[in-house]
Amino acid sequence: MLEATIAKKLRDFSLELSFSVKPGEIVVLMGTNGAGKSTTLNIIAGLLVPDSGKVVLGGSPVYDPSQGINVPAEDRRIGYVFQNSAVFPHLTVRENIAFGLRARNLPRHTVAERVDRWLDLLDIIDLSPVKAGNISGGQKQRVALARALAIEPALLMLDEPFTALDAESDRGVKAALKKNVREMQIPCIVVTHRRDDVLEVADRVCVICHGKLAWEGNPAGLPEDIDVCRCKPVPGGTGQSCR
Amino acid sequence: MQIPVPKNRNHRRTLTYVLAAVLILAVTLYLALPIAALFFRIPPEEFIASLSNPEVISALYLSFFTTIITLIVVILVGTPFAYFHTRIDYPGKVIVDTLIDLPLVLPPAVAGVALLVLWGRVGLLGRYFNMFGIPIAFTTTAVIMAQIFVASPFYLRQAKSLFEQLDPAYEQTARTLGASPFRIFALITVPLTAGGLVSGAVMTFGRALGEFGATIMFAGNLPGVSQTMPLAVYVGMESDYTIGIAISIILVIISFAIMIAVRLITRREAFHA
Repeated sequence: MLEATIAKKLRDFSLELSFSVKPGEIVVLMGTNGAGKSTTLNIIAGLLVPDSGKVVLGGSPVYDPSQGINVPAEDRRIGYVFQNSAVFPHLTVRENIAFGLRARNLPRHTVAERVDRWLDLLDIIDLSPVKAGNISGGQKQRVALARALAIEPALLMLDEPFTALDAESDRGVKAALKKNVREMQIPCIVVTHRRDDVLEVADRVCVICHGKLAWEGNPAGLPEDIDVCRCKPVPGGTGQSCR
Repeated sequence: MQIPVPKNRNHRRTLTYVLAAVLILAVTLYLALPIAALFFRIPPEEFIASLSNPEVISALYLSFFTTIITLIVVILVGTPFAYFHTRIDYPGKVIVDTLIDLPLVLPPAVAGVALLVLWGRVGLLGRYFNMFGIPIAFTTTAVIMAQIFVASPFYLRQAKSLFEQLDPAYEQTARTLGASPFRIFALITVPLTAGGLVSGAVMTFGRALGEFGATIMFAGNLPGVSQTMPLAVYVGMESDYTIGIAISIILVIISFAIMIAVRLITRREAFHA
C-alpha cells in the first residue's frame, strides 16, 4: 500500500496531491506534459524532496519530516522504470536485471536464480547475453520492467512506459505488467498522457492538471471530453477546477 | 513573370570556387609545409642514428615516464573530482570552473613562475618541504607537477561535460535499484562515458608531452632530471641541430598518432550513439 501526500512549489504552479494505491492495484496518473506527473514519481522515489508531505510505503513512512524521516532513494525498494527505459546499454540484458540484486549483495546463486526467473517471465531469455544497447525499444522496456520487478519492490512506478512501443510490444508489455502486479500484489503507478493506455491497464485513474488532482475514478468513467490540461470541473467525477 | 537571371552569375560561381580552392590550399600548405620540411631536413639514416644518442634516449625516457605519471594522476584524481563537481552544488563552484580553465589561457611560462613562487626553495610552501630535505623545484617531481598544472584542464573539461550530458535517468535508475554512489560511479557513469574520457586523456597526454614553458621555469633543464623532449629540442637546436630535428620528428609522429587515436575513439563513440 502506498499513501502519499505531497506538496512542492514548482516554477509555474504548486504541486499538491494526495492519493493512495492498494497492493495489486494499477493507478494511472494522467495529464499533459508539465502537469507534475514525473515530479510526483521522483518525489515518491526519493529523487526529489518535497516542500512538505508524507509518503508511507507498506505501513512504514519513507518520507515524514515531522519524524525526521527521509529514507534515501537507494533504500526505498521502489521499482522505477523511466520514460526511455534507461536500460544500461553497456551491460548485457542479464547484467541489467542482476544489477539491483547485486547492489543488494544477494548471494550469487540467488541472483542467478532470480534473473533466470525474470528472463523467463518476461520472455526475454534469448536476449540474456545481448548488450542492452543493441535491443529494440519494446525489448528494452521488458528488460527495464524485469529489472525493476526483480528487486521485489514495495512499489512499482512506470513513467510513460508505452510511448515508444509498436503495437505488438505494447500489448506484450501491458500484459506482463498487469500479470506481475497482480501476482506479486505490488501497488503500481503508471504515468501516461494517452487515453488508450488508461483503458487498457488502469484500475483507477487520477487526472492531474497543474499539480492538482482534477479527476479521479474508474477508467470506464473517464469522460470523453476530459481534455486533461484545460481541466475544468468535470461533472460526475470528484474533480475540481485547478485554475 | 520570370525573374531575370543576372548575366554574370556563372562567372561569380566560378570565382567563388577558385577563391575557396585557393584558401583551402593556402591553409593546408601553411600547416603542412613546416611539418614536411622537418622530415626533409635530415636524411633517414641520420635520424635513425640519432635515436641511439644517449641524450635523445634520456629525454625520450624522461618524457614518457613523467607524462605517464601525469596521466595516471589526472585520471585518478580528475575523474572523481569532475564527477563530484558536476553532481554537487557548492558555494564557489563558478570560481572553481574558472580555475579549471585558467591554465588553458595562461602562458605556460607564467604557470611555471607561479609554481616556482609557491613550491620553490624559498617559496610559500616549498620552504617547508625544503626544511625537511624534500626539494621540489628543479626535480623530476616538478616536471610532473608542471605537466599536471598545464595539461589537466583538457581532461577535466572533457570529463565535466560528459558527466553533465549523461542522461540522469541512468544514475537515478541505478539509485532506485539500491546501488551506492560508488557503485553507480564505477559501474554506470564511468563505463557510459569511457570513450569520451579516453579521448580527453589522450589530449592531456599530448599536451603534457609537449610541455615546455612551465617545465623550464619550474623544473629547469637538467639532462636526465628535467630535460624532457621539448627541452632537448631546444638544447639540440643550439648545439647539434640533428638531435633537435630528430626529437622533433619523434614528437610529430607521436602527435599524429594522438590525433588519429582521438579520431578513431570519437568515431567509435558516434557509431555507438
